[in-house]
Amino acid sequence: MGLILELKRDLRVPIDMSPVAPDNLDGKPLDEIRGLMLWEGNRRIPLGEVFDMEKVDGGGLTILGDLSKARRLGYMMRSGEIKVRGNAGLYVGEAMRGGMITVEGDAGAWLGSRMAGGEIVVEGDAGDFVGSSYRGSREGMRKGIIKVKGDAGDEVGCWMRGGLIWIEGNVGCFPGIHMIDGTIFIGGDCQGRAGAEMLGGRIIIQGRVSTVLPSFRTSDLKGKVKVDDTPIQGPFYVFEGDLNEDGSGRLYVNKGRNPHLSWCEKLIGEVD
Amino acid sequence: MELLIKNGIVYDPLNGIDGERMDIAVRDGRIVEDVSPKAEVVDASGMIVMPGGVDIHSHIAGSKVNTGRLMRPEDHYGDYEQRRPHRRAGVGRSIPSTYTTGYRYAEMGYTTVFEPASPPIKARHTHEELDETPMIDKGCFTLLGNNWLVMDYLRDGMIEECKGFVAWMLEATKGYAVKLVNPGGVEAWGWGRYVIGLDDEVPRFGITPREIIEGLCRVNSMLKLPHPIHVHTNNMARVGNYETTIATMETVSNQAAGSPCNIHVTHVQFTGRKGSSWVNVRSGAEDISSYVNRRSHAELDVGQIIFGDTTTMTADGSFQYLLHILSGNKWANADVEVETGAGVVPYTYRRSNYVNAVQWGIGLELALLIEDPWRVHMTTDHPNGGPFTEYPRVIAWLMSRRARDKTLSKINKTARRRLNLPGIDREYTLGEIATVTRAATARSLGLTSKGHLGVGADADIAIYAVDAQRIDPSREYKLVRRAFRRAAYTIKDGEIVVKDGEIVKTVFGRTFWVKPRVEEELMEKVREDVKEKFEEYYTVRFGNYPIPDSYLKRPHAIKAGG
Repeated sequence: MGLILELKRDLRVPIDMSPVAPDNLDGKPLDEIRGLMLWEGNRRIPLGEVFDMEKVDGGGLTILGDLSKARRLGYMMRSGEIKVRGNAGLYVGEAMRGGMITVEGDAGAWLGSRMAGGEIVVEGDAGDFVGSSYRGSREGMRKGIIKVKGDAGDEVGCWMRGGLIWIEGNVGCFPGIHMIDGTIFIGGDCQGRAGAEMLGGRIIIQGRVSTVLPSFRTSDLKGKVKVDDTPIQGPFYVFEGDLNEDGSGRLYVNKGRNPHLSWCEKLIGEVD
Repeated sequence: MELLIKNGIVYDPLNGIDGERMDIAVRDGRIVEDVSPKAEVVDASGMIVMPGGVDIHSHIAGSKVNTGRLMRPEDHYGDYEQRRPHRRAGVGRSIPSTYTTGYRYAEMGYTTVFEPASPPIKARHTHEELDETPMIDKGCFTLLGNNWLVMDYLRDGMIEECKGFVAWMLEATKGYAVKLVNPGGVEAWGWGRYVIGLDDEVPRFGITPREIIEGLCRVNSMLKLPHPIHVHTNNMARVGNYETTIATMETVSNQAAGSPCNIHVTHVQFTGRKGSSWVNVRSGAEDISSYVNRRSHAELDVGQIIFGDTTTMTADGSFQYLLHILSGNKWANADVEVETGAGVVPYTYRRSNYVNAVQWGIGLELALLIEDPWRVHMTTDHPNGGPFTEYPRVIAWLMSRRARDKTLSKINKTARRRLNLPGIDREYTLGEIATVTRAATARSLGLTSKGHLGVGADADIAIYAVDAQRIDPSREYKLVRRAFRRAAYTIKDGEIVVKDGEIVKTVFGRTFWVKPRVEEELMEKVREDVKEKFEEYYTVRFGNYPIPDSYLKRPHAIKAGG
């Protein structure tokens, strides 16, 4: 049994969609779903006031319309599937435990923040703090997979503790800041400061990066690296750090795209 | 305005009432003999009636609490309350905003709370926040254990002048009691040095912690202050500090006891560690409690740990530095000119962590091994050991061996093996719970109109929906825990402010402060002296320092005879 929600009107103020998780809707009659109360700005409104809905065959929850002002889609969801046919707002899949979210447009900041399982796929771009912790906290993404086919913003995987973030496009500054474990793959370029204060985990950058932080040690040159059993062709310069934090994270930077980093080859194997 | 609370089972330890069915009459904010037939009736059948809770040690207001709030957006994120009738919105689990703090205390049946560490120069801030904390009566303790002037006076043997200065300080800061935090040690750490034993000299001051404690204890009894000196002992950062705790009590044991004690040692769980390293740390609760059981001049509060995430904050900057190094968590630290220091570090107590599990055991062992419930108060040193909202959990642990065993079965195995807790059978009665949460704390604070339900007392009353005659707390501790989480009624100054665990009326309590009487010529001399010192030491002008009475919303001065 599936459900389609279609936006009736433009959203002018943020709307909190956290009650709209598949496990929360399962098996409920339409009338009850229409009556689910949400916050729109500082008002409480029933779900039926902003969405038309119908039941269809097949599974999952499909949402149509421009939801860039809709927050916390799939909050804490444990199972089932959400498809957004359009853009989504902040906090998509926040703290989700399982299931699948697909966004066909762009997603806002904090995509999959504090995620602990499941999978998120964004066909467009994502904002800042993909898979990161909440501000001030040290609990980032723990498990699961986040795939972004476009670009992502700053601080991808801040305080990440596990799982996989796969960005096919470019990212901003500080991917993997404070990272403890897990893997971040960046298919495009990175604006810099990758892995600042990282303690563990891996960051793989296929594109260009202007420089590597001075607190990283050149440790190796590798032909390829595996992400989830998928071999990724390099070759890669491998850096280790962040030594400022006694970290043992690894930063893989594509050699071919970064000829300006060739100075590091003569440092390989040198022990400080 | 009259109330009649009918048919409740009453626990009023100060008046020797231990679970009797009786009616309580209230008129105009006080408890009276009887009321007219027009009085509003509160049916408390099947419920227990106690005086409103009195919390002797809970960090709820002031610059360090606010620093904690600023530092921890994540503490607000998971715990927020939207606006409801009679209450403002608020945030925060371990460091709630001021309004939420007041509401949550009232919902648990607490009506009086003391902020135990206010740096004098920041007292204005403390009072501004206390004024914005509704529902409860409150007050704050003034930090004096690292004050330059106090140390100077005591070193030079000028005990009279020190007495005058302390009196001036209490009045200037609208404080309620003399608080010592790591006496001399905070100042020493500011110069990069550690004070470890009671007889180590504080660099640049030529005085030892022992002399500070003895001196201020003497001053406290000379001024006849209502509450004894409130001491956070030295050496909190070290394993083996239980010896310091005992030595601290011993050092004032030969001074005439105040009424009824001359020293209150606070959050002893943190300074009750035995052993020589973090690997072999054990509980020193047995040694500490045997001292307290033998000697009647000392009392303490527990500072129980609650497993989970919280925010630690104390004027003991050096201890906070250690915690920051141990945990790797973010921190804030401050040196307060001439007076004290402070630190704030978020921390998560884990069941699986050996040291945390031992700490959890130390707190409960202290509460269970000290025979006299009048001299061991229930606190979590909010938010250092855990948020005050978890008091019901502590009550369940104290009342039920079964509840303790359940938690014991989940903690670190080595810690479980080394603790004495599994062998302790004692279970608190409801009367003893009423003592350690209300009656004893009120008595220790010298608040004669609080903590009891006798005629003439303030009508601060808590009613909990637990049928004392039909349930066995030891077996059904969950019912007890639930009842204490949300009071059926909280009555503040004779008005119903909480019903069924929900705020139904917002009121603002009084701020208690102590006004000691000192000979005017001594005061003149001290004022001249302090003025001079201000020119020399302070960034603040002497004239701008004292807080006038009119600055507070509802000040209530308690006179002390000097």
